[in-house]
Amino acid sequence: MGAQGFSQSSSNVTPAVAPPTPSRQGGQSQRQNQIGNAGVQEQNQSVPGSPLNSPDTSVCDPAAVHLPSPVAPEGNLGYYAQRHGDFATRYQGCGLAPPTYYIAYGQKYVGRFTNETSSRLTPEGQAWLGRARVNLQVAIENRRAIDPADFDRLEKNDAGFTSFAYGTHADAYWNAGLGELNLFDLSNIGLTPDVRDLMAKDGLIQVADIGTRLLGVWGTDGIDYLAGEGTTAELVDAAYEGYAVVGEGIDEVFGVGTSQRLVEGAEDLGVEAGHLASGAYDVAADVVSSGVGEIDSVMGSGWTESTVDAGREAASDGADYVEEQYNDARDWAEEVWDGFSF
Amino acid sequence: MGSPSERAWRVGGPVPPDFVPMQVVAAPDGSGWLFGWRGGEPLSERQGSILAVSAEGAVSVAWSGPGWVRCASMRGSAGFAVQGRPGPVFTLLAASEGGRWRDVGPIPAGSVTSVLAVDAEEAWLSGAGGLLRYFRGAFTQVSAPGDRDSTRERLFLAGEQVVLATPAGLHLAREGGARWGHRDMEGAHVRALAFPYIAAVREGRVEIGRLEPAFVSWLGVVGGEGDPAALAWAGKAMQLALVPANPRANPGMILVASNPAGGFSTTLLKLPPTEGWIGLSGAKGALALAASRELLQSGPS
Repeated sequence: MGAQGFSQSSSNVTPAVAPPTPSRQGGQSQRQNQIGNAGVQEQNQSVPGSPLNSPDTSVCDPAAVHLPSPVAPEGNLGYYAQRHGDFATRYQGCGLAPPTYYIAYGQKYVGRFTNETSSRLTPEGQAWLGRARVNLQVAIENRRAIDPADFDRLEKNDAGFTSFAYGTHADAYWNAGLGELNLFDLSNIGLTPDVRDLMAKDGLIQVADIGTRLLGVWGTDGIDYLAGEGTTAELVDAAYEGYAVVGEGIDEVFGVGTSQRLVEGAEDLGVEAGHLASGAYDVAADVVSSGVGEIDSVMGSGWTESTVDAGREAASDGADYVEEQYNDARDWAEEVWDGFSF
Repeated sequence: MGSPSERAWRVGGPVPPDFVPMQVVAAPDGSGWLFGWRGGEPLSERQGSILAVSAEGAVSVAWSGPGWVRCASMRGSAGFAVQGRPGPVFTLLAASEGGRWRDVGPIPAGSVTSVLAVDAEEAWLSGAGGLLRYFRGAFTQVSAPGDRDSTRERLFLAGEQVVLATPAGLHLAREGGARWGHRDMEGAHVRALAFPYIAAVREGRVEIGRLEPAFVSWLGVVGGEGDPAALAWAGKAMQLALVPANPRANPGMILVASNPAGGFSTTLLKLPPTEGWIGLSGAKGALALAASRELLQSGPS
């Protein structure tokens, strides 16, 4: 069924917007025509760092819509600087700052992931990182494309932009294949401040759970044998961190204080790997059990049980993977020994 | 009125794992509508989708079409939604009898971010550059005081009247927007309104108030910094959804509920920190979608 009786044409009701690449010529007269000289001066005087004699200030209208230009979302580290620069160009001299997210999160964390975390990841983990970088940028570009004028407004609302951007993280990470990563990639990726919230439900339960199970099964020698000297210490740290992170995550549904009990329980076990291995899982189990009533009251009866089961199932799968890796390494070692003549 | 702990949450669904919500509208019993899209990230591959959710958690497809469903508003059985397609171009959809949706016609605007259903024949739309009124098949551009900012303004109904909440206060539409009344809000920026109650941000704090004939009766400060996304009430109880001011520190949506003994209780729901993933209705009615695509419903216990 079509619309009938439009009282105004489309062109009349479409908001006036500036072109994607703003022209800086003739802006002063346009601006003056809109609000007059007095208005321009009053506004310029109210904008810190906007000298009246600067030609840039003459074209600036913070309230106007200046359509953002597209930036190819190819996962490049320079993407966020380009988006930052696009805003800065559109609003040069306005006294408006680009969204803090571009540099404070996008450039900072994606750069950190790429420059620091990536080298610790398996090839699969590195591939995930590449896909996640693209997904994060595609989400921003799609938000721009579905309504460029609204995106312009959003960029000028720093808190709103931050919320929007954070809202894209879960899908960006998950759709990149987060759920298919192995234990060690999850340990490296999942313990970053951003991803760990997403992983609290199953991934980090897996990290913490597997960490203690591995130590119990293989001991420090086995772990170091498997993954290299010093791995045990890293794993202990990861287990502690994992428990803390899981606790923080489940605080939201288990009740404030759960994570503290979780961490304290782990710390009470001491720093020795054997103690951690023998007791930490029970501590976690006790804490989880004590939270069942609370979580069910929030999420519905049975939710906790299914969640814990899912976490344990994932942990079991992960342990199987590591065991397989260990067996491969042991077989290789035996072949090496067999190669020697005594 | 019960305490927040008496809220009965349940998990509904399943919701398609590739569904991305852009607006959720809830009913008091936890039923409602999910408006959004499915498909791949290329905009040309998106398929707009409206999902109906029963009180028992059953999910059914009420409408699907090219693009995405940007926003929606329901009032009783009447409702409007906005379909977007690459361009962008926008189309108004209207709810019909039996929960079906029909294409009303193209929206003559380059930006549409929200719609407000007044009744089955009237809706208001706002975007980055202006306001539109739809009435009996015709769109009319409406001029309202101040510059339009789609991220800082919202449309509400106060009784039968349309209210535009801006940082400068509340503007009440008269004669279809030909005239506007203004109400100063003492520096408070009203972000959610469920007449006569309001949730506003004032000096960085979230405050609940009640509109009185000539003043605002401020009822209290809600703990936690954030941006009120939705407000609902029934009887003497109310609930409020907050987008956290710092999503890094508080990942998720903050759900605030009034306590019978006074004050408010807060719960952090593990939802993406944007308003498009939760809807509230009445004192306890809520419909939300988690990032894991678990459908969360609540209603009176």
